[in-house]
Amino acid sequence: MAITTEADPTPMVLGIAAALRRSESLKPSLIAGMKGVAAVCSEHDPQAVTIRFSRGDVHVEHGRADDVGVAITMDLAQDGLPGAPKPNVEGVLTHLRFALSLAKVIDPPLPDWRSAADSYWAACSMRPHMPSGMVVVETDSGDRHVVGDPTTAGYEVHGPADRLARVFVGTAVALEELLKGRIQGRGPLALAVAITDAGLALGLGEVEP
Amino acid sequence: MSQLSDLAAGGTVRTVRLMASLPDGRLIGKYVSATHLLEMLPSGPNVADIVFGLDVDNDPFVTAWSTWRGELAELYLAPDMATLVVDPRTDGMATVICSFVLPDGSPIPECPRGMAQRLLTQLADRGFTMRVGFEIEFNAFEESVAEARGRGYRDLTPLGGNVRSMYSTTKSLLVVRFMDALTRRLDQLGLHWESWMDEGGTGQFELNLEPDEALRTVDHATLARLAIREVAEEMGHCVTFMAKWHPTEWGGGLHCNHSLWVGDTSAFYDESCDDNRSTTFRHWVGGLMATMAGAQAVFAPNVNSYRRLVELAGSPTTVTWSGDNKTTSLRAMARTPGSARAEHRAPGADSNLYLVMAVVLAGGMAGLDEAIEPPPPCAEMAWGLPAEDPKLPRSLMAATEAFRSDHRLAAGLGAEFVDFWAGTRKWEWLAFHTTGGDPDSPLTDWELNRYFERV
Repeated sequence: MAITTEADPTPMVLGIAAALRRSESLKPSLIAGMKGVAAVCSEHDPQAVTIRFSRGDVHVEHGRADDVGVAITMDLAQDGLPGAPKPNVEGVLTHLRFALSLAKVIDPPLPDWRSAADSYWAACSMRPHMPSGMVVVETDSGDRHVVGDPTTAGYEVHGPADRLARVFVGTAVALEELLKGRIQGRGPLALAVAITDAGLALGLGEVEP
Repeated sequence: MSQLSDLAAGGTVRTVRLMASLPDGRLIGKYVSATHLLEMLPSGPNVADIVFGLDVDNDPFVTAWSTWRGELAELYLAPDMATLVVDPRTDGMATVICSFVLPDGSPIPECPRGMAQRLLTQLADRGFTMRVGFEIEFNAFEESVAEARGRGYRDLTPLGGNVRSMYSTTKSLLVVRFMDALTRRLDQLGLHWESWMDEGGTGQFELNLEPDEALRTVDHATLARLAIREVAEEMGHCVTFMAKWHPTEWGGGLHCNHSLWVGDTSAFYDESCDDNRSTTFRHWVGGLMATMAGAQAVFAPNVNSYRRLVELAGSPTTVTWSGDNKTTSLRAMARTPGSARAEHRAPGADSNLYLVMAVVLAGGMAGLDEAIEPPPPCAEMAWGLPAEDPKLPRSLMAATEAFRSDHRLAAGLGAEFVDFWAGTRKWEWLAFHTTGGDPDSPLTDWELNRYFERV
């Protein structure tokens, strides 16, 4: 089984490929059973990818190909937010099973926020400019979780479980979440940028969780 | 300083525009009263360090960071008073070019002018001085910049009409009037121009400044590019330095002619060598060839830059050099001692002059230090070559990867700059794809809105 991308991939190609790899690691049989061509398109801009499933081998390329069986069009900026509009799915009547599987594999279940933080830290703590440790606070419960060196933790990230998990998996951009008030932080701007950059690298599959 | 004192005392200068080049080529700074500047010198005013954290659209980079940055802490503009020119546009105005420095006066690793200065000092340590001449290409339009904005920078009328005619001397009077006003302005500014000509694209022109000591030339070329924009605005026209402003028009370049000297003697010329190219010249070319792919991230810094790389359309597309073959990326000519020079043809019109200089210096000096022999020169047309021939990176991310992995450029430019620049280029790529750009469109509104006035 292999998940490959076109040469010189777009960010959306990389992001979808990273999501497929997460899905594959969680439930390999789901992708292994898929055969067909699908597209995922942005509702508000030209971003689009075509995914070719062939019983475990998957290839992702940019753009919407002519031969797609199922196409999902979604608001990428709202993805994962409460009240986000439902994606529009074409081809669901003729390719029901494939469409249902597609919806699952491009948006795999999020890990628990603590596990996400641990995986993030394991993958990214050695990247340039990262803090020596990080405190993560889940704001609904008040629970704290420390990754790295607890005595010199240089940055705190506060937020609800779902947003924390998305930031640490790399499907939400930390500084953008901060800017929009969905999470909060305490520490130098330099570390906020480094933490954001590392999350982006995870989301684009530049580093493996 | 004494020049400014005299000008201020005589009432010639009231205000000084202090400006410095950011890595993406934008000129930023402050307008300061001459009296206040005289009190501050040799230091200059401060600016917030966030200027090194914002993209051309003033959005914060989240993929690049500089170790010296704080929480919008102060950094300083260090004026180079030798660059002072009295601005003929406005009574009492002068312009001075600056470098960015930290509060203790130490240079900032990401300051393009500071980096070029540092590398020129290293070249001097090797016993050489450098002379440089830039070929500044740009596109001019009949419309004002306000009209261009109103049209989304599309459907503009190239100055001189829609007929392509390279080296034409018979285009409309509008062309002559504009270029004559420009060269008069350059004369007033003390910037020595040699020639201008109609280039291959419609409304496309090339201005050549007299070759001079390297840093002075880069400063002058910076002022000249500013003058081009300002004169166009005064005459109700507009210009762009985009690498590709129209899908079917030729792209714009910024060819960098340069030579090394030991005193008054050319270090590139040696009659006893093949084609008169000295060993120094050969190794310099070897270094430029070895770093050419990575250098492309600086020579073609934007997503739009790569639209210029079209076969048979003027811009080089291959990792090639030659003696006198303008289809290659690098020419190395040594007909006479005075004219012996390398011409790097890869830089695009939208590249940062100081960074181009720095990358050429870093590559060339690596060649000298390692005695790098260049590959054989390209004797045929370098466009449309088969797949096995090495090509320049054809996308911003491919170039950025080549840049990030080039140990020779890292040694010259510094690891911190490499990390910073690669991060900012990744950001530019992300911004294009996620905020409206379309890789399958021949040219997007996103590019025109982002780059037309700002590169």
